[in-house]
Amino acid sequence: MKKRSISSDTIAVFSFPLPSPSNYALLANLVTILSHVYSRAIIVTGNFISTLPHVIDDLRLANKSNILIYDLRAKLPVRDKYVPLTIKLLTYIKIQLNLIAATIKLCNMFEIALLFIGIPHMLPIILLLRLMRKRIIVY
Amino acid sequence: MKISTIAWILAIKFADIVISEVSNPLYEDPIKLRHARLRLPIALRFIDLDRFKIIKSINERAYDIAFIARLEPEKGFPEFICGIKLLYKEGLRPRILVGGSGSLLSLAEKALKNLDAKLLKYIPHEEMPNVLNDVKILVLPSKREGVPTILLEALACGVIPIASKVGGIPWLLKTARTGILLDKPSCSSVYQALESLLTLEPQLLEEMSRRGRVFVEKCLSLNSAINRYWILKEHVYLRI
Repeated sequence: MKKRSISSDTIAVFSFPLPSPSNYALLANLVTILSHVYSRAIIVTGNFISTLPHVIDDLRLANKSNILIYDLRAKLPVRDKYVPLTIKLLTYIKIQLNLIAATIKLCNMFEIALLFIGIPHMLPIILLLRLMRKRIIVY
Repeated sequence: MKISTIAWILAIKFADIVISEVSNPLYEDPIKLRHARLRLPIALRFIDLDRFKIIKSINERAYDIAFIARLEPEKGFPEFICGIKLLYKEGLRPRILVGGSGSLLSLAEKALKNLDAKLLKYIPHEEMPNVLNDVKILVLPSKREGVPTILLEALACGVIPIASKVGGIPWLLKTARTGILLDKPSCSSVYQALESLLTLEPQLLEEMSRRGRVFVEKCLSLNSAINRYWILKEHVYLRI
């Protein structure tokens, strides 16, 4: 029987940072399920990341030892506040670069990538993942 | 065609597998249906069934109607308020609960002033099961949705939903065999749906409430979600 490596039993979940913590409850729900199916689930996201472990705690049912969180270190501007276009653009570029950097840095750790929230914004890393011959799942 | 739509199509085309919450293709996003190499309807999330359960029988609950969502036009809050006002005009006096905040908060405060209503600007998630167990009917006349978590949690607590025919909602309510679907999220449709439920026999309400719970127990437990994602895992390994 063919033996599977830990990287082939690891799933990386990419989520574009979003301006609302409610989306992270959805992400936590997904990761809770994946933590029971894969040896390791890596979450790559930003913004409200500090609340994510709390949300997973709130769900109680996650296999927490299988979850790894990678912070993109990029925050989106607050929705209701006025932010100049240049700042918005620079933030967007920073997120894209950090996503690419995270994909390169983590690429040896996973074989399967699941793209969760903000998929149209993650086209550059989808292309990168294709070049790296990773299996891509789109939610 | 919008840039975001083009990017969405490309993302679908580049993916090995596209997963979806909706099992019936009739209610699926047409882009996913058209461009996915393989579409697996396995992505429905789970609900913590020990936490979200029926504590109180539907006929013993304090609030007849609730709106729990962001107070925004896209969630259909103005239509909800308008429908409620029509009910009051027709002599019905339901107790209302509004939970949420947003750009229409001042409209909510003003509109609910003269009604038998309570406004909760923020409901902590751990409080949600208790709140939902005090509600008979949840109204969600959104203009755009996927499969809203609040609707799943409401079904788990035996709340009867009234929701618009958008995203995965028609599939959800038809599969669960409960609630009322709004053809259009309009003032009159909200009013008519509410009126028909408020005048329903308590026994029939109880039956609708139980049907929602049965659906959730069958399809939304953590174990059923894990089993669905095992199917995905097998498909992925077949492709490695």
